[in-house]
Amino acid sequence: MANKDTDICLKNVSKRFGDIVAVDDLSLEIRKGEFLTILGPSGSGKTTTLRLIGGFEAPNRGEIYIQGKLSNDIPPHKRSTRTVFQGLALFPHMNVGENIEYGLQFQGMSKTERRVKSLQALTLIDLEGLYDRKVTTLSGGQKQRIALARALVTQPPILLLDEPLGALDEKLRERMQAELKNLHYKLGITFVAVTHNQEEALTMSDRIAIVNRGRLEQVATPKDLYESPKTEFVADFIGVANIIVGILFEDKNGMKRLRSEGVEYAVPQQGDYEIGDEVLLVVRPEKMEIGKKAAECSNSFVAEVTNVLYKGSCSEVYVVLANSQELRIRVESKSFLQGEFTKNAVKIGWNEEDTVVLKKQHAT
Amino acid sequence: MERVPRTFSDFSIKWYIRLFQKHRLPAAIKHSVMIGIFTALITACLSLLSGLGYRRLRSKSYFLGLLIFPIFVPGIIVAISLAVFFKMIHLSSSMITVIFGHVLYSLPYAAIVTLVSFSGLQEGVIEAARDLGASGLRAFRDVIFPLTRGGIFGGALFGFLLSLNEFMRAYFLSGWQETLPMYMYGQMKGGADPSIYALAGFILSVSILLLIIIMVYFSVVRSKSRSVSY
Repeated sequence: MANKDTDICLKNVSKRFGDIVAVDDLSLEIRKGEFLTILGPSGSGKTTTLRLIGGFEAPNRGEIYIQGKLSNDIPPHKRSTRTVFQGLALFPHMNVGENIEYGLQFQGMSKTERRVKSLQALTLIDLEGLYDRKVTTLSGGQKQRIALARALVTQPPILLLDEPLGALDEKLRERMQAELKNLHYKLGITFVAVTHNQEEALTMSDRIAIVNRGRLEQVATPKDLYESPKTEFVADFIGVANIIVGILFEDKNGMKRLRSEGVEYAVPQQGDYEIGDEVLLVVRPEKMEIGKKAAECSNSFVAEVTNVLYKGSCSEVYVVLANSQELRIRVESKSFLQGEFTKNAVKIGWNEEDTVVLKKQHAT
Repeated sequence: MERVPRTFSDFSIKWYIRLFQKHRLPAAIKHSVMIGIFTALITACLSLLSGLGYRRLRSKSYFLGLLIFPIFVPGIIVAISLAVFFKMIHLSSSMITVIFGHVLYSLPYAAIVTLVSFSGLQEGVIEAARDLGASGLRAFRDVIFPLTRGGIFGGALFGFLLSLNEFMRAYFLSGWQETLPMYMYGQMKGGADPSIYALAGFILSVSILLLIIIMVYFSVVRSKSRSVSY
């Protein structure tokens, strides 16, 4: 625990449930005041990680520090974290006001103080007048805000959110994403969220921690994750990626190139990889060119169009190279008429500086 | 004196008056009610503990099987076995031994009612209470108990009613104290006067009255408390 800007620190934390390893030797530092999202597919251990921080599970190995204090054995009610639960977990036998006030009584507040506080909180979340309502009569979005208010009214330094927007429909989810981000900005406290929705993670977070099978894959800003993924999993999980698998070799000019299924590709020369390595070349669909511009790229090929999908402002063109390598290309819809390329040979290409080369991970 | 009246002739409360002049009856009612109350309390507590423990159990079906096992054993076998057992441990027959027998009898029913109400309890709300600063005890008081109250009271009611009506175990396990079913059985066997019918009428009236009180109470509680499901 060297850094005092660190709010939460997990050191080599492992958690097993019977034979299942939910969290596997995970180390993660969460900075004071940041919005960090733990993102991963279902069963990746992301919720368990959050529950370890909240005190609802105890680690089998490793240490958990919260605000510099070793917290492995500290029960939830003595931690400075507050949680917004998956499914929200409002108290069904209490009304809205009683729900929000519940945590305040443990801070030694009188009944009148608590009432004032919860009325203030209701105003803050635009739900004034709902104090006496049953929580069961509220809409999804209202419940969502009550759950947030219940946690935040106690003024915690750290807020944990477990799939906070999971129960909402698409439109409402988008609005709440913006609201959460705004709330985080206003309060300036540490937010740690868990989600399986990458768009949600990319929108809200300062940094994202990607977990897979209980292990941490990469922690970085959304931009860095997207543009310089460090592992195959991250490249594939975040956004859409064209992945070409091949072997690095040295051409007659002493430059590194990639050979895959009989086709050669130009790759960035700098990086943590050597001649002879089996690697993955990652190209984002929107970094690829199609048509005239493609001829000027350092990687340029003739390809056959197999499909064109119209997706509103942009469209996706599916092409296949002569060696049957499939690629997806994203282009602005207005730049071509739908269907124009179908079955025709087109020029496609991309520049090597827009690509990432990753060492192939062998399944352990 | 006829034991079974064949015709309705006069309307009379004579036998009701006669009923309360019998000195053995009030004692039998007192014993039955006391045994019933203690059985209800102990059964409700054990049911509550099983409900709390059940949430954390891994092998739930084994526990459930063990819990309802006493239902499958014939009452007379249990009664005799318990009588022998208490004799072996030199526990003389008394109301306490009857309560033991009645708890064993009513626990499966009461525990199932309680477990049903616990199944509607979401783990998340308990964790939410803990997260907001409640100790384990406060979380129980503020969240677990209010949400499972119906099942716990239901279990207690089962304990009381089953105990009140139970004959076999009480017959084998009680000492000099007579319970109400034992008294009635004795009256029937010994060529009873019509006051036994008056007793039946009396018990029925009290039961209906209690039922009405309970129903009114719960409808008031339900309209007051915010609905439990969500």
